[in-house]
Amino acid sequence: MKIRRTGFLNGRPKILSLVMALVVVMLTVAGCAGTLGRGVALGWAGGVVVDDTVIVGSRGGKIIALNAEDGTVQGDPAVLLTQVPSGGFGCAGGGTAGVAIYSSPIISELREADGEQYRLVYVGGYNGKVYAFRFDGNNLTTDWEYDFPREGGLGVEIVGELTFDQTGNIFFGAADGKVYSLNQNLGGIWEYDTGEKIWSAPTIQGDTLFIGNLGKKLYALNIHDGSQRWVFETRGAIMATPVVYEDKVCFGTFGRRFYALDIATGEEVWRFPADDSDENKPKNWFWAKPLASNGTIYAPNLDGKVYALDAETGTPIAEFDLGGPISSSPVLVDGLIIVATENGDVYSLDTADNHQTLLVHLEDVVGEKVYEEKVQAPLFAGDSTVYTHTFRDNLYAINVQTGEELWKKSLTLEDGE
Amino acid sequence: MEVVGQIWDTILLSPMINVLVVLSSVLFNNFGLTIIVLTFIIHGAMFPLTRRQMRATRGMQELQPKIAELRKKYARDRQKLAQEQMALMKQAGVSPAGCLLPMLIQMPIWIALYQSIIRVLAYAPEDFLKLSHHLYTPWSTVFSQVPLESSFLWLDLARQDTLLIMPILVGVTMWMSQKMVTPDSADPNQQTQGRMMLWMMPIMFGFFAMSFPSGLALYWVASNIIRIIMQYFIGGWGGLSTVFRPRPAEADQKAQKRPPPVEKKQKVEKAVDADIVIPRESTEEGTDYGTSGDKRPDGGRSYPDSIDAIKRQSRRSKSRRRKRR
Repeated sequence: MKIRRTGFLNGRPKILSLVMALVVVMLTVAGCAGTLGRGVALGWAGGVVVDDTVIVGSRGGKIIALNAEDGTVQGDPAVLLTQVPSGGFGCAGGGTAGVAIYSSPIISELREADGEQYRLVYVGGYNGKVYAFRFDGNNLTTDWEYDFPREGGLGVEIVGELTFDQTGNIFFGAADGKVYSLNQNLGGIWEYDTGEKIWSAPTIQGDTLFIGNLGKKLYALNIHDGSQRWVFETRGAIMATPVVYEDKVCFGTFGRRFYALDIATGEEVWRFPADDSDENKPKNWFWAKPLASNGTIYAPNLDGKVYALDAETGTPIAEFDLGGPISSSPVLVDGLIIVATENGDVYSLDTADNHQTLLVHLEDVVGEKVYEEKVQAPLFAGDSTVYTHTFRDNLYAINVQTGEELWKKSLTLEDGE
Repeated sequence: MEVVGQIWDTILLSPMINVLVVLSSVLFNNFGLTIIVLTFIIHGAMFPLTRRQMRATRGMQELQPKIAELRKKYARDRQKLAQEQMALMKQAGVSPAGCLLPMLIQMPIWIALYQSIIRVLAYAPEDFLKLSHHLYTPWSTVFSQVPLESSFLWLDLARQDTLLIMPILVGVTMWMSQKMVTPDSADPNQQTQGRMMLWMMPIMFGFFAMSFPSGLALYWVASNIIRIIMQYFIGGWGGLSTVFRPRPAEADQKAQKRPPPVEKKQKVEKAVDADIVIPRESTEEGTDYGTSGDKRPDGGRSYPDSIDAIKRQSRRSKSRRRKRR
């Protein structure tokens, strides 16, 4: 039988069908490209320990309460959801998805209402919203108690952590360049516009708030009204949360410098390296929050080193080479500084003699497969234990003295918990 | 696989990212301007290859009628057909590899540029953190320069253009670029395919531009404009020149209303019984346009180069007119 060549396909059905299929596939990809093109934000939140409970933010947008002793999940997790724009063309977009959480949860002092005692767990989402969940000592409520802003979100992401002052008011910076002050019920008090994206967390000392932005400036603001006390311009963007030690505020920048400023005047007290031609100067960004202990500032860098600097003069005291980029903020437990690298190594640095010890190399063993772990979330601690939330969404509890893995919990909760 | 990734990063991606950042510091921290200038630099560096590719493509297009004839002639003998095609291409000095090879060499560079823009814009914190691993330690500028300023004109280069101006510009410039190199084929199959390609790519990239950061859309627009300029200098306006010209039927009607120039008509009548008019200039002694038609004002697309070709073209235009009626 002879096939008559007619019409649209014009005798080339195979080629044109292929072309049409290609068009459909490409349009589908284009529809989904919102995710591909922008890069994927998954989050890297740390957590907080209260009494015998660990509260942590997962990479799937869940706030989970776990027993600190054995890692069992307490109650149902609170899930932060956001509306995903439709991808169109058959793309899996649309509907809701878990919010990426970079801002570790923080927890309030005990409150009492109707004879019931509870705390509020506050968390900032990448969707530009701050939530407060009630925690009764065992379980989290699955619906939030308060939110900010009440309608929608800020329209920009919240990456840095939230911070309390002594009265329980909350402060944070957002990617719209603004610093926000909220009361305990998440009602707005004031806001201050720095003009450039903020991804770091504020630090509060007395009635002054210190916060850096990606526009290379560190601000000192009055926590009562948000008025500016001083501003210091550096040579690089500021991602690391500043630390206050005695009368100095210390922070590192992307310009590979570490500064100490007078908290009252904002004048530079010292900088590291003092001389740019120093051959031993840091080789990458200061990303993680520094720590202060025993008159020494410990400044982690993405070049894989922790620089121990004299808090008074900025003179280098020691240098710890941990062999992998350090983007996770360290924590001080039992006189030990615990640091994790992106290679999955967890070290303890002894502040007494500046000696480093490899506690554990984290690996995720699933059946017969072994996956390397990567740590970017800030560490948090309680009772001689450090908690490490990894890139594969596992939470490890590690003894800081022995390096023993006390328990491990997958925060995907795929085991039905 | 990891090794391949490392090689890719070392040879292409990291150099591209660092150059992009340094260039931005030179260009007043204006990332939009940086994308445009870098696109120019890369296209400039790749110009010899691009020119070769364009010429080879053009050569292949000019051979299409002859290849179509061979296909008809050797429809049942594929081996002979392949031999004859190769001989024809060899005789004309073109090869399919001439079209593909330069394009293949350029592909990794385009991909690396695309990846660099994505990384430097650093929409997600994870991407931004990865950027630090690509920066060159001895270059102090690159460390302090990032993150780059993402606002340019009305655009936030890290986000989509909500006004949809960039997606439209991407589609229009890509269509123009495609139209310049799409041949007017007598073969209806080829015509259909040509039309498909002409519309498919601009529409597709227009959709991409709606979903991707506008920094990439800016790169696509700049690339398309550069390609249009290069194509113009290599082969004239090509198919684009027909867009603003009246259609053949309209042109015929207008021509009938006007008294034909006596001298030209006589020349054509002597040559062949056809309604094709060869401009006098092209037949003048000493005027040599070569076979590629590079120097011709219309790129040499519409001028037949032999009596046989004139006959063929005449038959085709008559047939087309009959169809239209």
